[in-house]
Amino acid sequence: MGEVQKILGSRIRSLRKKLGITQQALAEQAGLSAYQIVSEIERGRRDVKAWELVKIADALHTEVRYLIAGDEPAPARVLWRDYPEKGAAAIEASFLKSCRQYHGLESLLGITPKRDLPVVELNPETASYGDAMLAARDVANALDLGGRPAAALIAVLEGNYSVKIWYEDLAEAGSAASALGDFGYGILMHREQAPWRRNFSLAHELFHLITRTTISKESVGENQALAEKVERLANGFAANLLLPADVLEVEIEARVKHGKISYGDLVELARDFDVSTEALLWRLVNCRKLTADQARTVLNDPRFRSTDRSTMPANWRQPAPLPERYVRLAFLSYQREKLSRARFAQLLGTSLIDLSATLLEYGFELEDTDAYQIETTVA
Amino acid sequence: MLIRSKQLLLDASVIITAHEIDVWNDLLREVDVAVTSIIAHDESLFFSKEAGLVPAPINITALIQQGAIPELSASMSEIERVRAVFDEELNMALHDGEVEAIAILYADQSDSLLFCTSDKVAIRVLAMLGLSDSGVSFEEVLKATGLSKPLPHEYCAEYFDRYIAEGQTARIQGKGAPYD
Repeated sequence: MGEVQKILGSRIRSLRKKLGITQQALAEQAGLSAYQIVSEIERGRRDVKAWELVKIADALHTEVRYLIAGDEPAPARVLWRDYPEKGAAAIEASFLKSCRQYHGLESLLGITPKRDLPVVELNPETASYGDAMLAARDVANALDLGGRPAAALIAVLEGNYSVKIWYEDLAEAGSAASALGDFGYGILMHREQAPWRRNFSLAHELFHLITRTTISKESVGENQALAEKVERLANGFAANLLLPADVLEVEIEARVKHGKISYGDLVELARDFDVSTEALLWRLVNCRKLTADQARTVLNDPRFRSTDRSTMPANWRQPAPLPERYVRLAFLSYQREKLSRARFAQLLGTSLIDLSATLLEYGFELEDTDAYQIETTVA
Repeated sequence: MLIRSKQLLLDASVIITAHEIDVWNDLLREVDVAVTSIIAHDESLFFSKEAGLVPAPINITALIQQGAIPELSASMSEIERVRAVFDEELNMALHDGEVEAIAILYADQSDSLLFCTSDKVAIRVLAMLGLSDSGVSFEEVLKATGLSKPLPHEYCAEYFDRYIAEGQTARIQGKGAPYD
């Protein structure tokens, strides 16, 4: 076999090892009949068929063109809040591939971020809760999030800053991750979390992106205490971002009667801000509207829990399988004749036959763009 | 165009439509049909979650195993060659099965193959790579084999010719495949 096969084989081996999977596992995931096929390919002793290469690229969460040309994108910087127990490397690789495809669609359409995300320089060793609070206020102003930040956060991050937000089942241990790479910014969220927890996770991950210049894996290193402090700062930032003190104060005052607030009002307020009741109560402690003992008492009260649970089903929104903005960009790319139909279906993870039905789920109708045209006054 | 004397490389949409209008078996009898290895092995192309949407069982793998249709595979270097000619936009634009078909045509010295596709991007790329004569519309194929039936407009010769013309213009302007 030639040099080309050897080089390709070594690229495949290197990516497989990065994912921490065996030749047997790769063979199974790629639908190859035996691990010996992978072994032969990795040693450059087998002429790889085009279809085998496609299946191997899919299993390695990369693209055929990267395997062939060897121009694998520069590594991204990924920070996990909690690393999933199983399959973390594969989830990360799949997330990064999705971010690159998303960025590819932006490039096809000539879309660049309207602005760059603000940078907040925090020294993880010396930063305090107050610093995180100030950062949240500044970022909320810079992003123009308004009085209900959770309601605006996704649209602002995606639309203005081209942050690629994906959802994945991260199992019990994983919660979220942020990434910075050649595609810009990415955030991976846990699909199965309650919507208000996802909002908190999103704000938490935003902290990691805005502190990208001073807080990194390298700056925290193996120092577990420092890593935990950074996570507390990110939580403080998230609580302050999603529950701005001035707005919260007005809303609380409107609900207090004779110095008391009802459980129902507390739950309704949490839903209004799209945060968990826990996040709301601890924020009220932080704003000196409640004591920590009062918060614990409320949170441990079964009547409060029952009131909280009773409002959940109506407010529980599961994210769509794909980000709606990603689908819109893919649809626009197809409409503007920048994607073939088969590639379009592939990017949406569906078949040619199911393409119309998949698009309808996102509110798009697949019509031939040439079929309907109107006259305009634009020359 | 001597359609009957050439081997016809079909894209996935054409295969689906041939089943939908019930000419698939006749087509196999009338012309020498082939598919790319990627299309042959990509079960997801012909799959539907909804019962009844797949017009008839489309089992390309079984036909290949029976020897009814051949599977054509591009070599690594052939795919690399065509990918290297594409700019970044074109590299994103096509399904790997379409790239494989174009790579096979690009390397074909015998002029014995015709790519039958209804995809405007793929048609345009054919012309951009100087392969205008290596493509054919499904309408022309049906006409040449006496199997003509009403078809959606993207399968018609007029549509095909329009995107071939666009691709030829882009080729002259050096767009998409600037190093060709």
